[in-house]
Amino acid sequence: MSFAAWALVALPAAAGLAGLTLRRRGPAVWLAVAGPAAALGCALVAAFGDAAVSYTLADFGSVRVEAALELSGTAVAVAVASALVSLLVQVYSVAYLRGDERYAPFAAQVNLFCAAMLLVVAADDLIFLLIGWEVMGACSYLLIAHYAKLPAAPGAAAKAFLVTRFGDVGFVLGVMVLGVSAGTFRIGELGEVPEGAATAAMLLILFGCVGKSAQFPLQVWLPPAMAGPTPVSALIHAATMVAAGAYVLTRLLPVWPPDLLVVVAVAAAATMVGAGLSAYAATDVKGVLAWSTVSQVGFMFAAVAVASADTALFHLLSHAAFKALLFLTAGVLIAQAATDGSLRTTRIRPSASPLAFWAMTIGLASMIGVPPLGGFYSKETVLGAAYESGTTAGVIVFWAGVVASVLTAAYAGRLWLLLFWRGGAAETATVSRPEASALWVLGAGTIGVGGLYFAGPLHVPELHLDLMTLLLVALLVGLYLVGDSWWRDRARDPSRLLGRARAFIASGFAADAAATAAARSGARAASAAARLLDEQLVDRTVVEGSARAALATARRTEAGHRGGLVRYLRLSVAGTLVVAVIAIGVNLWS
Amino acid sequence: MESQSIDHAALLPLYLAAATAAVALFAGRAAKAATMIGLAASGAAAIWLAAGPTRRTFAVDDWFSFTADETAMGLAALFAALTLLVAAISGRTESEYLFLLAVSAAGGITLASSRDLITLIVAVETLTVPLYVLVARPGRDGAEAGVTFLIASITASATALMGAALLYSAAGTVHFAGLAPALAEAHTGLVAAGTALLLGGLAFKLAAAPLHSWAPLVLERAPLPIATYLASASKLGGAIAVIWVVHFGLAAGAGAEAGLVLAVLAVASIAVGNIGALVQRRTVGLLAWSGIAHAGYVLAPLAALSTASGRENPAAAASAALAYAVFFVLLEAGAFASLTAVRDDGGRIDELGGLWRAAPGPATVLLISVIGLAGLPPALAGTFAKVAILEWLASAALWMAIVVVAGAVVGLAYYLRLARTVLLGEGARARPRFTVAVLAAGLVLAAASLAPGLVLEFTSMSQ
Amino acid sequence: MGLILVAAVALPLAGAVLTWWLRRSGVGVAAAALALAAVALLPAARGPGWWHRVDYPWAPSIKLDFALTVDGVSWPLALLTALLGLLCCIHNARTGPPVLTALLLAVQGASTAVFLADNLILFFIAFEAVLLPMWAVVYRYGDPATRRHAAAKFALFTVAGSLLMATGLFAAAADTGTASLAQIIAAGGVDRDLSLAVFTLLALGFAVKAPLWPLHSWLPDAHTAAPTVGSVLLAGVLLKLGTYGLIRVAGGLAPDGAAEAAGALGVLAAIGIIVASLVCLGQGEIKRLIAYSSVGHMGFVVLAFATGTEAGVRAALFANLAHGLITPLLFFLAGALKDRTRTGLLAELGGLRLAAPALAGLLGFASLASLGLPGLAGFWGEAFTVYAAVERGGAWFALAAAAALGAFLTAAYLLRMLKHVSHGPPAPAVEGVAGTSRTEIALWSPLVAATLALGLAPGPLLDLFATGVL
Repeated sequence: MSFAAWALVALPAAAGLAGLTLRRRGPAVWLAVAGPAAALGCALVAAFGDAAVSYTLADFGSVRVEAALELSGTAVAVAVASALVSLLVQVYSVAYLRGDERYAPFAAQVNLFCAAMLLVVAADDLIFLLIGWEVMGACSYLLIAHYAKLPAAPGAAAKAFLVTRFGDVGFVLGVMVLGVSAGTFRIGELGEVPEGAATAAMLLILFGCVGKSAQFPLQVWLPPAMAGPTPVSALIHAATMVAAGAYVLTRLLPVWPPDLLVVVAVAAAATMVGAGLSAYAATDVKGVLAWSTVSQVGFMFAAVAVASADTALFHLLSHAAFKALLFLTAGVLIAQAATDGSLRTTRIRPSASPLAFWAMTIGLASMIGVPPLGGFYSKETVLGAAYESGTTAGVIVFWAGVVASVLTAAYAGRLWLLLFWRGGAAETATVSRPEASALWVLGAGTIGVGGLYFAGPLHVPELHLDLMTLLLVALLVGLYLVGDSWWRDRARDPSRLLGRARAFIASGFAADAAATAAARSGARAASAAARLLDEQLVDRTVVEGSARAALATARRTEAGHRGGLVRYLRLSVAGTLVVAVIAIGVNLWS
Repeated sequence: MESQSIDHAALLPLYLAAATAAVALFAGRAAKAATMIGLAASGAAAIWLAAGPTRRTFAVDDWFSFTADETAMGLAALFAALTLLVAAISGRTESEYLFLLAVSAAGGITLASSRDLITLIVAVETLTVPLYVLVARPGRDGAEAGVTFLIASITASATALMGAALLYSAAGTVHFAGLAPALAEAHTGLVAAGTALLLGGLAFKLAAAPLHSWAPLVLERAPLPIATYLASASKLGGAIAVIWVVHFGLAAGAGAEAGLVLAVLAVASIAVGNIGALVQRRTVGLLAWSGIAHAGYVLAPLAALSTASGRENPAAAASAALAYAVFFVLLEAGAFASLTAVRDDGGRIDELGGLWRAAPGPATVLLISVIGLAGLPPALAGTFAKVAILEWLASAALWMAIVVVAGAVVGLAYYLRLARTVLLGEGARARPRFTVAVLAAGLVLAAASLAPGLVLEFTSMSQ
Repeated sequence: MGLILVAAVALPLAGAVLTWWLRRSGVGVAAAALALAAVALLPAARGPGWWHRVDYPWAPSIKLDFALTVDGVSWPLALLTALLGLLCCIHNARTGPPVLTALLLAVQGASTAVFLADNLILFFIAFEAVLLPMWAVVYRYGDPATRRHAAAKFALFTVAGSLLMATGLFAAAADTGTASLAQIIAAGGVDRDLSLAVFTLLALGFAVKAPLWPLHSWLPDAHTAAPTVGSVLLAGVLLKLGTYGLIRVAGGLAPDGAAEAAGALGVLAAIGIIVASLVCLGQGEIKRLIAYSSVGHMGFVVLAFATGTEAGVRAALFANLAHGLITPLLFFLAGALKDRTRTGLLAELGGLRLAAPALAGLLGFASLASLGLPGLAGFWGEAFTVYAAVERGGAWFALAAAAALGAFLTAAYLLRMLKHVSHGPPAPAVEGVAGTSRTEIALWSPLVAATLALGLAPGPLLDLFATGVL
């Protein structure tokens, strides 16, 4: 079994590294599909036994880093989801990126990305986990910057990496605090950590997870990350990077001081509602989906806030299925409509592409929680866990969750209406076979993932009839708001309900612009100050200034010695007298 | 006082040097050869004596005025060798020129063995007086240099004599061995004044501040071979005079006073010399100014006597100072000799541009010397010199070590400029002369670099 | 084995002389290859603690012996030196003049002697011996516009540092009565009263070389002005002399002083990390940016050492070595880029990813390694610097936070560099540049492989450090 744990990470990583050296497309395709497929196989094998392995990776004397992998039932479930989504993304990309010169590195990077996520999922050592955590960030950087001709791509890529890395300042510090106070980095052996250290460590780690999962206040990187190819968005949003933050929080839930979870709750609540509003106001297809991801991951954080790890993972899995489906479908639709994905111009008749229409419909229905799709179960259990917890955090996330459900229904309904029911090209378009197969598999997954409620490794709260009712009411309220606005005036976007604030909300409450401006001007000012200190004060003034002063003194000294015999005698006599006076004076004094 | 027997063997190098001077006067056209042979013989005799047991002579009770120990004879041999080098690189073969050189060498040879103030000052004068004539080149500039040197020298001698007189009045003896116990009892003001004047006067020969400013003027205007002599043998004489007075005479009884005076002299020399050298455009000017700084480095180990920990081991101070002085004069001799080989006068530094290609042999010796003066490998002789003084100062007077370090840093700035001009500049044309002599100087430097023990052993002072 | 120790030092020096004499770079490459083989052989038949030793008296009256020794701390650095020396010689043999090869070998030989010296005086002499050849490399073969200024600054700073260091070394030798590094370390260093003074002198000297803020200002100029091979050796070897000296010599001779000065050292290191990163953030020239980044990276090394914990010292040694692999790689790549485009200004570059994908890919790899991406060599040392500072607790936590923030800023400026160099449409200067040649790939691949290997399996090297005598 330990072999399966190793291979789970090593095979896609090896496929990725090998792929980086390839130039030709043919072998690259094979490696691209083989990597995640092998990982998927390993994950499935690992499900049949307790796969665990560890050996010492680095010995720093007072603490050791172990290459420890441990695949519990829940971890296997997440690993299967990650590997499967990666595999489907690779399959889909073969068609999606046909004719792309840089396909080979792209496929290799996706494989590395997949390996990194699987490492995060399987690692039982925080430092070992950190490897996957950051490699994932680096891969996201490379993948988002994939389109060489898109001017926004490099900036968006750098932003994604830097914002998550900024969170990692906290994450690394938190991990180190945890390691110092527990004497080990093994998650399974953390045990009792002193209250103070645990508080500091978990707040710091939370900061890192908030960054990775694009939660408030570090949500700014995710919407611009749409600059990457659509399959990359599917990968980042569905089962890997964004979910990793929530996943790590669930792993570390035992260390959390219970009182502190209210911090998570506040972040989750703000994210769920704010991002829901932004999704409603968003002006392009992928923008809606991006903000919906932020909002849905907020649900996972909400589950963490009520200390219900399995519920969070349940939502993670169902979200993985429907979000991957949504993104991959969106890619197909945008390609068919041949637009930039703006909601203003992208319109498709349902009859033009039945597969895409139904895939989109199922995905959106699952997201808003239509029974019996996966999203219904997972969202209901999240609210159920909050309801049952009886803590302040529970109350906060419960009501935020209800509001967010209304919003989810509203933005999903709006997207569906605007995409499919405003006319559009009539000619039917075929979806290529790799793309279609990915959609089929994900569609099935979206429908079937709810089965995890009945069987599987997750322990989630029972369904509550009253909560189900509440959820359905919220759903209907959301749909009603959109539908009402739509039928009143089909020519206009239902987001007009937001009034004048629409543009402001669509920009994510201008947080991105503000953060970018603040970061730019802050960096510029700090850099200027540092250069002033370093180059002007230290270098020019002190170092080179002393050299200049020495030269000036030298010129004066030299000039002072010119003047022949008389000057010489004066200098000599004066000097000798000074020496004598000093000698006599000091000796008499002491 | 009964008449005593004189150990003539101990005086053999001196006799040979004096005889050389006499022969040179009468040898006519063979004067140069005769001088060189005579000096070589004198040096060989010194080495023979150094290898044998210590000889002493001219005693008053237990106090000997003349001691021919390993150190003294090693230095005597060095004097002979340096004078030999100067004779070899001199184009002039007149009898009187060589006579004066040989007389000066005889002064140096005596100096190393002297153990009382009178012998010492007489020896210094014997070393110096012939130079009054030698430094003066024909013409107005030469005359001014000669007059400056004459007056400066006389002033310095007067100062030194005044100091000696004060010490005599305080201690009642001129013998080094007698000074020590007597000075400890004497009036401190008197001792301090005597020490200050004596050391200040003697430091003139070393071109240490405040009696330093003759050096750039005179060295620049003197003929290059004589500048070589002034920068090497004559400076060695000054160094020995100071070290002897301090080590044999003052350390035990007036170490603190001497240390203080020397500290002032050393710091002033290091500062003035390095700073002055920084803006020199002329080769000899640069070497002359930097020589002032090196005089400071020679004095620096002795300056540690001003601290209590320094006074615990005065022999180490003297050893370090002497070792530095010897390495330093070897490097100076190398630098000036190689310069003499390629130029008639010092000239501007720029004029040496590309000497490396024009005259590889002398340029190599010049580079080794200059880099050695900067204290850097691969010219290890200079590095060992720095190690010798810094090792002592680090244990005795850390602050003085810092001063030396600061000086060396400034020093690198101008030495590097000279070195890179020779290496990478352009424009020099030269027809090297005196190849054998310069090569010999280079070989000595190489030997001192690879086997520093040659220098360090005979300069190590006991007692 | 003693003979091999001598060979490791003598081969490059002999190679330098021969290369210079015969004006043939091939001789230098052969000598460097032999030297690498000699160093690589050293771990054979090793024992615990010090592996091998030779000791020939040279000048006993100044306590100078030709004494060499090697252990788990010095050997990796000697190996790194030999490797970089060989790579530089090969690089230069293709295009550069033989005299430059000779100078590189001289630097390599002297640096190896520093790492292997057991005698303090020999250590000092070898330390000084590096100066002139390196000065000549910068002065003679550097960027015409800035080389004079940069070379002079380098020389003066270095000599000031090394002479202060020498004073400290001599004070320690005088206090303990021996100049053998191993003996002094075994005896627990110098007397407690003297310890702080000795450590201060030594640390000042090594801080210039390392460099530690604010004694670093020679570095950006020298590294920028030097030719590619010069920058590689400066970053990969010369800086290591400073950190090795700080950890092994200053820490070994004056452990009490090191403990007393730890706070000051740590604060300066943290300031260095932050200030250097911020300066990089506004830097417009690629070599200067890489040069400044060294100040930050070495800040991590010094900070880790300053913590004085076991983890800290190992992290310092590891970060030290990792920097010696990654930054030379960056300099090689920047050199290749500048050779092709004739400019190093970020504003004039762009689109390298399209014009020369392999070069851009390697630059990306090296940048990711430099910013401390886990799984590559740069990560372990810097992450555990943070760990060690957290471990000290109290105010050290602020330094840990500064270091972690510095790691973030490092990512920021390296990504900014990549954005300017690799991304976007190809700039006029970049258009049509030649791709990487096989020789270049072969030359860089050892560094890439080592970066990857140390990143994935840091254990063996850390265990090796653990066997070292500190």
